[in-house]
Amino acid sequence: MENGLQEHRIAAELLPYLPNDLRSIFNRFSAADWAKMEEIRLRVFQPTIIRTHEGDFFINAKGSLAKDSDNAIYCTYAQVRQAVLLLSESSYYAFEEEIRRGYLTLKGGHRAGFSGKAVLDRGMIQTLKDISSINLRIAHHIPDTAREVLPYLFEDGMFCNTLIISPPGAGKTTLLRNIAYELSQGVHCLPNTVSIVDERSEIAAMVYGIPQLPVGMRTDVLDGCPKAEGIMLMIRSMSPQVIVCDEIGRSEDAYAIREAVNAGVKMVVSAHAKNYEELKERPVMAEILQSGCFKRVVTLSRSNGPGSVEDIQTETLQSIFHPRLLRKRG
Amino acid sequence: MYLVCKLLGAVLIIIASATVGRYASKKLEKRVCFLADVQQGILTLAREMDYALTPMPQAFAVAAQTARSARFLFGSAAEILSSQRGVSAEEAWKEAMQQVTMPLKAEEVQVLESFATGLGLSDKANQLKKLELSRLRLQALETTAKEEYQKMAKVWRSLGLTFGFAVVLICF
Repeated sequence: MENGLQEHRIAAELLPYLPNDLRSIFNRFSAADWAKMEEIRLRVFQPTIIRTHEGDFFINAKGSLAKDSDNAIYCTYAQVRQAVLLLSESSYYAFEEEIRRGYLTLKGGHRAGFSGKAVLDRGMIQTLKDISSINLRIAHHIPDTAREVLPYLFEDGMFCNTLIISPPGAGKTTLLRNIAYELSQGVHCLPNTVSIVDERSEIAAMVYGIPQLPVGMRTDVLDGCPKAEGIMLMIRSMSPQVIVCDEIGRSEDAYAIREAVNAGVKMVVSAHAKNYEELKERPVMAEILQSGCFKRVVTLSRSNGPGSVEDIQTETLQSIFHPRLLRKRG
Repeated sequence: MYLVCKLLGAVLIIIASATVGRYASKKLEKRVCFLADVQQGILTLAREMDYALTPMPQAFAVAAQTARSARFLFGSAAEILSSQRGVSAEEAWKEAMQQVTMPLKAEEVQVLESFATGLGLSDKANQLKKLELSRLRLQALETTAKEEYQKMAKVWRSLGLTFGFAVVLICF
């Protein structure tokens, strides 16, 4: 029942962004159809494709999902244009930065990715025009990913600076968000004042200043700000006990993290890498790791679905992870 | 009794004629106010775009609060855009113009229509330039309308009253 409610919410959040004729087709889909959807892909003069964990589906002429592309309905230029208008609320100027980056965060934490012709200014992308492909990525809320991991992140009752590593799509951001939520709510620990520096609007998915995903009652979010600058700003302005940020990797990030740690603020950050060894190969990350800032390194993979914990290590690379304590996620 | 009826008729004719004159003068005044209020709405739109990057549906709604006599125009546009029918800001504005009665001349309506061309569909700098250009054109039209009002408002009022007296004199 709860799942059904969630799917109805997702449908209500996404339907307004679809072009009118596609909207009427999607409106007829069941909660089960919405539950399996991961992406809706609109491409000019190509069939509308719905990506699910069961593979790709097409919409046939009868308006139902089909594995077969023979009777698939095709997306027109006008439909893609209308979808862009709806997604941007007819206000390109308001989403210049987002369009330049190629994606928009939507109500409910969903995300629309764009591709088209890049307009360059001195070699830098100024904007995208003639948008020909839209990828609507559906955010399904996955609760409780942090509860199993969190006990490992404390030492003598103190929360440790934590680095989460995984390849893309393995659940780093979800785990970060859930750790922020748990620390902020104080569910299995004392409540903490948490600051999220959300450069790419992925952790809290802010829309008009409102987090679209749960981040906790003691959490302040700085949205769309570069991490290094944002970390310093939050230390000065919000006096956090814990700062959370996603995908570190630049030298200025390393400097800001060291500053924060020396100021007594705990850090929870993530970085792209398959494992610790691979992470060490990156000069900036090697420097951060050598400084011993991070007392815990959590490695994730997709081996049992997104968010599967592979290992949790201390700063001396000692594994403290006991898989029996973890629930397998499907 | 006959004299009383005659007198009452004469008064009614004068009141009706004066009201028509007053209505014509008021229409001129409304036109000036409407043009000024649309400019105020456009200024609010520009401010919302410039400082807050507010998207068009909300920016129209904020502009409606400051646009006094033109509030229904901005309000309708906000409502149409918020209904998420997939219309552009330009289409929403033109639809709103058809829904609202405007005390304007054809030339002024044309300027208001052209104001919406490409609205929302370019970067901030371009949008602000566009809005300022439209506002200046409306300002020029407002100046002309004001001159016309100053010249014609009194004429209409006096004409209405004089016409009433003339009819009474001729008839009685």
